[in-house]
Amino acid sequence: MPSLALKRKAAKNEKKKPAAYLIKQNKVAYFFVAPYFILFSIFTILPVVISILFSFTYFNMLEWPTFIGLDNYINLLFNDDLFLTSVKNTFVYAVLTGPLGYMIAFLVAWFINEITPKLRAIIILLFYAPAISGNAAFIWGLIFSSDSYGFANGILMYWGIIDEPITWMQNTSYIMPIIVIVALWGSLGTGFLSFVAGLQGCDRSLYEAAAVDGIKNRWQELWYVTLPSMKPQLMFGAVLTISGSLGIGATMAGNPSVEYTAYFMQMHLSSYATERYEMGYASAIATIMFLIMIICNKLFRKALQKIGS
Amino acid sequence: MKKNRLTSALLAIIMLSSAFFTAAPAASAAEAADEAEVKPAASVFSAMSYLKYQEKYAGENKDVEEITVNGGDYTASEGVDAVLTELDGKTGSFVQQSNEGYVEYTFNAAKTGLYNIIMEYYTVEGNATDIERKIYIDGKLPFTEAGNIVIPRLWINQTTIQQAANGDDETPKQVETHRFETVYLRDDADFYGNFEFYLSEGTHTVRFETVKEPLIISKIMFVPVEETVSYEEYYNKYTSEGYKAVENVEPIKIQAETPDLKSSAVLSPDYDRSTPNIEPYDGAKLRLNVLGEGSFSSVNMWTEYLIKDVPESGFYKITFKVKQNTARGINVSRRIYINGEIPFKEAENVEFKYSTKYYNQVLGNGETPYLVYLEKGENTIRIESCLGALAEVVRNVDDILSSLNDAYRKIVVITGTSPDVYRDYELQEKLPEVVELFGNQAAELERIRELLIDVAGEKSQYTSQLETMIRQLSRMNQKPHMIQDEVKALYDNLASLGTWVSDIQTVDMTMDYFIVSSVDAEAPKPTAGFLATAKHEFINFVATFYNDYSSIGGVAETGDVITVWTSGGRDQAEVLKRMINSEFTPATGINVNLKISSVSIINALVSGIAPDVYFGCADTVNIALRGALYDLTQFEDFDEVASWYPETALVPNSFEGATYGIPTTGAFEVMFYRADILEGLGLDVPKTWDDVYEILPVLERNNMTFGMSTDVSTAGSYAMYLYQNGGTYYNEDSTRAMFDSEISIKAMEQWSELYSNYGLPLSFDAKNRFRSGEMPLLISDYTLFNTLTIFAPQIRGLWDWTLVPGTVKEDGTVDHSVMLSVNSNVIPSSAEKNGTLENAWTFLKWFCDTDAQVEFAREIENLLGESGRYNPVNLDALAKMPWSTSQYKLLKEQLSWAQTVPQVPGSYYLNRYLDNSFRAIVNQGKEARELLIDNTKEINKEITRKRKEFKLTVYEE
Repeated sequence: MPSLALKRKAAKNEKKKPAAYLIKQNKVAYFFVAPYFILFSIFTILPVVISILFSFTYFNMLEWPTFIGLDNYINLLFNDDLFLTSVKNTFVYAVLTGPLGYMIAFLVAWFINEITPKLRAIIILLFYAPAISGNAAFIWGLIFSSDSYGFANGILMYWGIIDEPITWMQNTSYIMPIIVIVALWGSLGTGFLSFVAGLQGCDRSLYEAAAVDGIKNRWQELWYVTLPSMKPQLMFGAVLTISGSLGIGATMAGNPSVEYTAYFMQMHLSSYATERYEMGYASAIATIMFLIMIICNKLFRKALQKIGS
Repeated sequence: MKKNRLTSALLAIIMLSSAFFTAAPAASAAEAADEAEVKPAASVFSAMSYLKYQEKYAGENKDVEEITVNGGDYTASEGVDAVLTELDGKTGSFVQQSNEGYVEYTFNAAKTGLYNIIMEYYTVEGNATDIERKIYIDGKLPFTEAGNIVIPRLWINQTTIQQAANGDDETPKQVETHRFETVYLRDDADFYGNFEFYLSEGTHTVRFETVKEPLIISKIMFVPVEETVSYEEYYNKYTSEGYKAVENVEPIKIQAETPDLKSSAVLSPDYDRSTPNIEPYDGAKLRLNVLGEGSFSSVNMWTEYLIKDVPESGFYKITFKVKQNTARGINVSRRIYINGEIPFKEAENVEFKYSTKYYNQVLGNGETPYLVYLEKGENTIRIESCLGALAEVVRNVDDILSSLNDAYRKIVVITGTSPDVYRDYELQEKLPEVVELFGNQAAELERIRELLIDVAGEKSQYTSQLETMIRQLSRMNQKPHMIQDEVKALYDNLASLGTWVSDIQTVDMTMDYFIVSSVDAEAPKPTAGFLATAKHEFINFVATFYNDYSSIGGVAETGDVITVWTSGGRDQAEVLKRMINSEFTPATGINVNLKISSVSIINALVSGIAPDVYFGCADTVNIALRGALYDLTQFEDFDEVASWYPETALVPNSFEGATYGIPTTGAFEVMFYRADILEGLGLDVPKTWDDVYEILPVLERNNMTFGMSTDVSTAGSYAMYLYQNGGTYYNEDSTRAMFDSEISIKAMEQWSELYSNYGLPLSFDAKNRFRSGEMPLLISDYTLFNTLTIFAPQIRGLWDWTLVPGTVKEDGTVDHSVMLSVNSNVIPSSAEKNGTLENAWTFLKWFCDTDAQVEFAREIENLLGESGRYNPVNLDALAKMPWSTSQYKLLKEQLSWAQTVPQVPGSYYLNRYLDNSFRAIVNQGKEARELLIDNTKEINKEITRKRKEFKLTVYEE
């Protein structure tokens, strides 16, 4: 029977063992993780790495890329007014829809959690419906049709508020608000579902313990018990929201939209990639978007840690 | 003072125009026209409708004597090609009409009364569309519908159904056949059946004026109107002659997809893969096994089948295996002819009920079969689509629709399309007849609704649409002061009632086969069982792993092979493949692998799988500058190919002396106008923009509007102004955009003014507004013509097209320039490496050539019908499209004014900045000059940047 000291020694040795040995030891685990890991590497990690490499080159897809150092980044940050417009638009959009949509999704999930299970299932389906049927957004196209027979125009004209139809999607004053409204309407997506699941996974005994410890109202219960115990779901929802709102691409206003009012980073990227065939430059945009998303993620993680304290 | 005079002048115009509308126009105008001497060229809508004509001569004598006139014995003519005495083994006197002019016959009617007219004719090759004539009796159109007499061509499948290399069936080519054929002059919409013409005793003339297509007329016969006998009489007649129902004969099964003769090339064989119980069947391969599937959908289409070996004379039972899955809530009707005649009354309307599955229907009344008498040996059966019992319904609703449309226009003249809800328009006092009309029409629609429920045995989408209309009409009838609130809803309901009318006339039905058998023979089960269906689905699924459905007609591997990609639809690709197999490959020995692909050419080149010819390339110049496309001017005979096109058509695919693509289709705008409405308002069709400016206030006062698209990328409204004023998009060496020039600024100002000052709608549904009459003038792509023909049958004959309004130049001439947009077919540069360059060029040249283009266009139209008409930009091919002579002349003239927009590196920037400028002017009232100067700078920056990238000379101040 090995002594305690020996065991300790073995543990110490293990630390020094090469990765290959560890893999061999845990081969079952690696075996199970392998299919996903391989696919993930090929279709996600590799493209990201390649794209970062391309961002330092001039690459028109037909000729071999040539290395041009930081030129793409310099042009992007200092010479490209349109890029700045797109960054501004993206941030305006993200700030309006991200936190707001996130909060709406959470609040709705919280409210729904109080309802009896049967009714809850139905209501969840109702709220989640827009996310399932991706094309449901087309009804907004009917509502904000520029024709005098579009719903919004029709009703406003019927009430005598306007005399002439408004070209909603071609008028700079209306484009952004409408896009934001439509985005908020569709914000009850996968994040919302995970919130519902998180709320249901909360341990009931914690609430009792908290009550004994002196929780006074529902808000305190939410802050000190519910939210901390569903941090993973909150993080998941946040990642989805961030990538969703920063990565916004095509909208109802079309591409590039009138006077670039709804021109987002994603559009700028695809404009360079598919219209101008400047892949290097497009990769630089992608890299910057990637960095922005990582930073947002970090910030959010920090914010989450503050919950319950 | 001046303002006052203007106002009173305007008022006068308004009063005049509304006076026209308030008077009941149709009836009185028609009556007046009837009395007055009408010239043959008089407009169609001044004649009375056939309904009125019928009423007028309702009680007339039907006991008349037959009159026959020979084709060659005309007394007046124009545009006659030849008089023949012998044709196809027959002697007589035949007249060959060209695609213009007329022939007129003088004849003597022995008795006053009503006559049917039968024409014996022989078709001549033309542009392969239906032949159309106007019939004048004694120098005038007897009724409106006589202006639109359609005479069908005769079609056959050129071959039996053959299989391609990959085992799929290939649709046989549809070809015309020529033979003597007789036709009753009848209503094309099938509302009335055969027309009955009234002739008084004495000498008359009848004139056949050509609308389109040549024709040989062999005989004109005026015959007494005869009633078809009932089934009972029919049966008794033959039983009294000793014939009996046959017994113990082998059933004869006839496949519906292969008729021996048909009235339209659209009736080509189709495939149904939804069930295994279909003939012929194959689990994995395409089999052409049915007729219909959307093609047998207009009235008066027919297919004729030869039944070769009828074993003995006697009565036979006919069983059809059909599926009618398009019209839920109504029955689709067919007329059955045996040996050229409808045997009995009941065969005039054989109804097929709705079902999503195939079923057997015995010709009969549901309980007892109606047996038909067939002679031993050869017999023919013709199946013709018709409205049947629906004819009356459709006719009535059509009438109601046009009366309500009139009423709508009357209301809108007073209230506008968006009335003020707080104002009392006193519609009840001003338009009492409209209020009453609403009540009457509601009751009439209610009657029709009940009739429909009766026929189908259930409520359906057809009845629910009527219900909406009925509810609104009764509401407006009971509360006339509320009419103003309903104007918009009325418009919507009228539009959907219009769609209703054209929907209900869609009489599609799919037939697998029919069986001629003895009365006791059982027909095979029409549907498949569960196991058979499961097996079928499984085989289908497995087949998706090894069948390449995107390549058309199999893959050739030996010999000279080129690969061609097309981004068009499957129908187009199949036609192309058939043409390749029957013409291109036999003539050149080059095999073609044809694939449907939506992969962009850049992606294909990068991955090394680029085709040798690519149809429908976008952004040609910007791709070519990266060396992706081969410069076609390198080919020796390029100039010959270029000469087939208007010079400007090659410009968008050319850059600095090189041409990278050949266009096949081209679109440009013309102006559509509603002749009836303009006539009503006393307006002429505008020829110049000055005319338009004069007309706009009048239209506006009548709450109508002028339609012109604001889309700068697809429509050419700005380009039209720019080109008419002599402007250009770029400078001469295409190094900078020219939107900051005086001409461009002026053009932008003029164009945007139409929207900001004259209130043209920025966005609209052109088809519906043109149909409703709200938009009597509309500038649109000329292919809208086909859509309107199909989509808006109600206004047939009431509209036309003309050149777009022009700009008067200093020398007094008028410039009608429009923008021409063309597609592009290219040879990727990889073909040079593959050594397929010459073959690719041979193929491209073959397809762009007039003959191939014309054939392609015909086959496409045969397949898809009139709405699928091809728009070639090859000049000779355009001349051979099935447009009428006058339509073609107009197109040709407008095309001669058309100019394309060049493409340069960075040209994708243009449209977005043009659009930005336009929106800023219209939405924010900004100054055109400043905007254009700023935006041109941005565009030029991009052009310069791109030119630098390609190491081209850049523009310098």
